[in-house]
Amino acid sequence: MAKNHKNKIVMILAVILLVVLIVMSMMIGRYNLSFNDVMSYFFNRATSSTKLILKLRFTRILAVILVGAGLSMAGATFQSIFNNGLASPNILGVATGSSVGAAFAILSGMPIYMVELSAFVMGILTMFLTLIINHFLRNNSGMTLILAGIIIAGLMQSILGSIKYIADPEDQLQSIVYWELGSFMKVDLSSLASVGPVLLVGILFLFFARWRLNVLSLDEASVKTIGINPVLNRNLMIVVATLLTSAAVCLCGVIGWVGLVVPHISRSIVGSDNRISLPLTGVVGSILLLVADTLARSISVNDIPLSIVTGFIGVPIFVFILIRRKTTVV
Amino acid sequence: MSEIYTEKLSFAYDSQEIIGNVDLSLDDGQVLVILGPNGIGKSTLLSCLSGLHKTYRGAIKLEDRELKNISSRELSHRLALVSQGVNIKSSLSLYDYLLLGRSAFHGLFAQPDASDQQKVVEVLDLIGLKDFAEASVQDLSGGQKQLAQIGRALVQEPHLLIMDEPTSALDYKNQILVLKLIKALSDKNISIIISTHDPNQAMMVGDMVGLLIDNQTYIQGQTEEILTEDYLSDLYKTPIVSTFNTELQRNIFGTRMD
Repeated sequence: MAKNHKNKIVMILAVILLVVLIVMSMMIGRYNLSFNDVMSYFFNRATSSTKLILKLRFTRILAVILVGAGLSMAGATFQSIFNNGLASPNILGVATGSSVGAAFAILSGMPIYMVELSAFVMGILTMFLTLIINHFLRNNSGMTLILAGIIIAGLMQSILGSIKYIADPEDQLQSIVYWELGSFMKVDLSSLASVGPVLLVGILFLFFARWRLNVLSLDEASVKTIGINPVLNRNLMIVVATLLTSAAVCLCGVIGWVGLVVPHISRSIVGSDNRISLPLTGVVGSILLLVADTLARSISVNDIPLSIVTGFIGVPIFVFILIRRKTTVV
Repeated sequence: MSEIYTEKLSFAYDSQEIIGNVDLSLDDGQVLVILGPNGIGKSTLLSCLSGLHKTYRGAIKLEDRELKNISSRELSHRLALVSQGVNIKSSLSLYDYLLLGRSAFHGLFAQPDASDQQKVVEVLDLIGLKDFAEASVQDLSGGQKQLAQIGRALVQEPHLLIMDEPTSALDYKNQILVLKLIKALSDKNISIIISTHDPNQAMMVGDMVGLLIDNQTYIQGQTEEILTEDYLSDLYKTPIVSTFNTELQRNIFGTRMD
């Protein structure tokens, strides 16, 4: 079919664009490097000084790509199973909840894997609270889920505020505040090595389960009579999407807009079949976050918090898509 | 051979009995039409037969096996349900929407294969919507949406197709389209159970008719035995008159307006 052909081309172009951007991003920074420097790094022939810089940049870029894909695919998953175009890790409160868990663990001086676990547990707990509130508010509009998310995110924000209030202002407070707006500045090989595999597993899981996501957007009785357990499957997807969100939060803090906007960009290009739009969502998420992070670390002397950049990029795109209304919201 | 039958089937919700004492049976390849007033429990009965409510009392035997003991995966290969009045909000194309029914044959990480796509093409042809394969389901007309739902059930290749008021939200032309499809499916030896409000529709497609009179009384028999003035007047608590139409070669039903 002609449509499949077009979708394949879009996907290939997106991947090529991502590869080009990776190379460009490695060239750009406080010390600009040449294309040849970057190539010599990949073929293991770089001089030790450029090698050091490129190793740092490449580690950061890998983290950015994984987080960009992970957050966007988590957003697409939430939007698909809740049948709600406004569902995203941030709006459902999952991101803030995860950051409460992580902040608490940082405050207690726990090791990175405990920070990760704490973020995940709080993320799941937040999702659970949001779903309970939604259950009590429930009517047929998709707005109750969003309302529940806003309520619980507000609660988590207050808890996070309390943690900040009692945090040591010399050391802990700075790191908590900085990471509320998201940044990859502190990502190093060891943090990537501990969180990256979680992101990768989550991404691969959703990638392979993408057709099932389509089925789960049907009403519950239909899903059941297709022989699929709707509750079990939905919860499984929610757990994986929450895991991705909390892993991203552990690595680089809370990043706004990516999980909400990128699935809409992807659907506006290839339609809402997750078999095609979910992989594209992952690649576009990586592209968008890579552009944002490269700007964040290169347009000023200091790193700019990432949510500032993703907001400036994401908001106009989102408004544009909503006006064109090719995808349904709520 | 019997496709499905029940013995003293009853179902309670919040300790209130909604249906009771239903002895229903359907033979292979036949059409059973269930009539009954609003709120009498037609949807509940069909949900029980579809395996959606497994806390029923009494027995439901599908191909002589107790329904409770059949896994939902296996059940999805034997029967399919078209729910009542579901407004499809999906922005999937009709083709991809029908393909969802094929998930019944696949695991969590599977992608549809060539045989799945082949089946969808066959069903698109059968429901007469081949030209709309690429259209978004939510943009289809009411009648087409109903056909799309039936199509999604058909790609499961069910022996038994259960449809809850498949014509109730449709205009007259689309009602006839759906009734003709039911006839065609029955000719392909698919057993069908539908519920409806209209005795005329029962006359048009039913081999058997069941009446849900109250929550303790279910009567079933051959269409001609059951669709009588007496039974129908009793069912709807209003005088129903029937007359034989020579052109249509069947009884038609109505009521006096004075």
